[in-house]
Amino acid sequence: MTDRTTSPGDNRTPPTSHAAEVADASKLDRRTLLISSAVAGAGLLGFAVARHALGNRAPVFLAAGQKYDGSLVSTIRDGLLACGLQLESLRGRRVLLKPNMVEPRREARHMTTHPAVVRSVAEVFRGWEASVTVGEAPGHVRDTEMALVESGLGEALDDDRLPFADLNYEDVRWVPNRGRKSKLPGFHFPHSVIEADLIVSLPKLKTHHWVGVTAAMKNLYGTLPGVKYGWPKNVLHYAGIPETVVDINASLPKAIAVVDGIECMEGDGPIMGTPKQLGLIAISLAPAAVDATCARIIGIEPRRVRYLDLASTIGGVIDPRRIEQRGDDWRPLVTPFEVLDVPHLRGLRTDPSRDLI
Amino acid sequence: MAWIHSVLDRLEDSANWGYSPQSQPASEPVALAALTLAAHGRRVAAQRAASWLVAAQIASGSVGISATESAPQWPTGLAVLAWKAVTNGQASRDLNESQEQSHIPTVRALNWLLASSGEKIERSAALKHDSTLQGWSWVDGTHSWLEPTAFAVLALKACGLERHPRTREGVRLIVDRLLPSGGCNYGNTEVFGQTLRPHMLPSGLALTALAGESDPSGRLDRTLTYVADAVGPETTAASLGWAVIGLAAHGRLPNGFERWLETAAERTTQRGASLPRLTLLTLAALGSETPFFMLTRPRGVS
Repeated sequence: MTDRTTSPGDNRTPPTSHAAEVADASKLDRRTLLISSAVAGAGLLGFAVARHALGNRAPVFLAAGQKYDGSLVSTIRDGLLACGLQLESLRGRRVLLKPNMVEPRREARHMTTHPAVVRSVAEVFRGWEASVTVGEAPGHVRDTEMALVESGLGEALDDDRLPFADLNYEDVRWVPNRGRKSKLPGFHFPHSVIEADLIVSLPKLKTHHWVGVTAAMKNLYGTLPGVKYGWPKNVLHYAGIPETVVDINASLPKAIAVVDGIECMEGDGPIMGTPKQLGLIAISLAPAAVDATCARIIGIEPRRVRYLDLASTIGGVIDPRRIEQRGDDWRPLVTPFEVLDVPHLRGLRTDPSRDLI
Repeated sequence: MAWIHSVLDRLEDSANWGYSPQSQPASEPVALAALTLAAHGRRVAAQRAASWLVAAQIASGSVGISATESAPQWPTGLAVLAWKAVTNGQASRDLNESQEQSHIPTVRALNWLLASSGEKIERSAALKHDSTLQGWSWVDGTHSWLEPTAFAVLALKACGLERHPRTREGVRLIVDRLLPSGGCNYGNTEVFGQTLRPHMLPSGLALTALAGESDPSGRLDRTLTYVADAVGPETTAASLGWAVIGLAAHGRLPNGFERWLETAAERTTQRGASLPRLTLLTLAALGSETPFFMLTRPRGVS
């Protein structure tokens, strides 16, 4: 299918030299290209992101036994430090927190990132003198005010005087697709995303009825505006969900992750699944690494999740031998989630003999 | 009421009809502004908004999301409604009367709407809805969804094309996307055997587009019941606006809706005063005189 989703600006061919450069890089080593992107972003910021990418290893911090009314602030602060986030680089920087509010409903709070996690992460970064904004482009609802009310996040933002960026309706800027796994030439990101010095993906850990598992990487679908991509963001579905998950992440190298795995969703996620208590906070400066770790914990083999496997081909760290474990060990935390029993999800299990649902 | 005049004054004075004060003018809020300004008799400002939309129209006849983003083109139906409201019937009502007037923005936009459609998907066990209906998509080259189809259906009806095959198919699509127990969401009904949840905003919009239609399946009636039961003083602004407009289109305005709108306007003003949300509330405040109904009601219906 031809991509006809783009504005005239999308069809601009990059300058010849750049096109050739990308093509050459593509032939030689896509991982190098991704790392170069990360270095470019991190070079401006001084974050530890590039250091870990270049070091070919990715720390992932896990904290078990967490509760929404517990000591989340200290847990998250410790986790970010344990992963190597460099505090001196944060003062005065713009940090965008990106929770998951795909289709909030008061009676299904296990669908969306808990406000306590958002507030805690905001407090941590504010404590480090960063300028914090919360932003989201809800994927299934046009009434963002309703999404804020139903998720409980609106009240939390008011209480903490946290500004909110409605990413569905902001002006956009085109960014080339640095992943090049899908045919989309680039992405239209909202200004709040473009101008952020650091994006913190704050997903809810859920099973997903199309791709198996959704966490930090898939959550960045919500950085793209509905006015350009629709409700749902069907452009991305047509271009391939695994491919566009990887492409969006590759095009936003300044993203890190704090996963809300306390009350999760299993079964028919990401909308209609059932609550699953896990009590986990997972943190990494490398979204693929934290997603791979979360997948293992819920009984899914990351290599069998198409977007994680694709991410690994351009530098995403999913191999457990390259993931530096910090905090709690993941192995005792393994709690297989129910997965929808549909043909395209069969075979995701770490233990293939286990039933899906 | 004072809040309505305040919003209209802001729209009249505004040099920027964007989604937010920081953003550039965008076609959807401009079209809503034109509709409410015209309906409230502020014709000079309404004409200014309509002219902005004409300037944003590109050679294909479509209107993109803003003057600088010519794609996607889903606001085209809204632009048609705005132009019809501002011209107040002066423009040709029937497409076939206007073949020689292809310069008229409305005709060019209608031609684009009639030539565009959502992508069909082969029916599968995963999706319950009739994915072979074309309707309209948010973005060219993708599947049809409820809201862009509703915008297109309203535009075609406003131009006297309520019997056009594309309009009828659009109506069938909207009815098909209503949930069995009433209401609808962005446009999925059942996925992998689970019935999805309804949302107020698309349900109100669907009711608006289905004014004057009958549905033997009963889902339209159940959608009216869902919206009437679920809407209330706490409903958020955009959802409340479309819910009231949708109910008005079926002669089911809820008691006290004026107060709900005023309260929502107060809340919206306290929370940053989103002009598009306030604009929608002023359109809902017109009750049974809302232009979405006045422009699209079948001929002979007063």
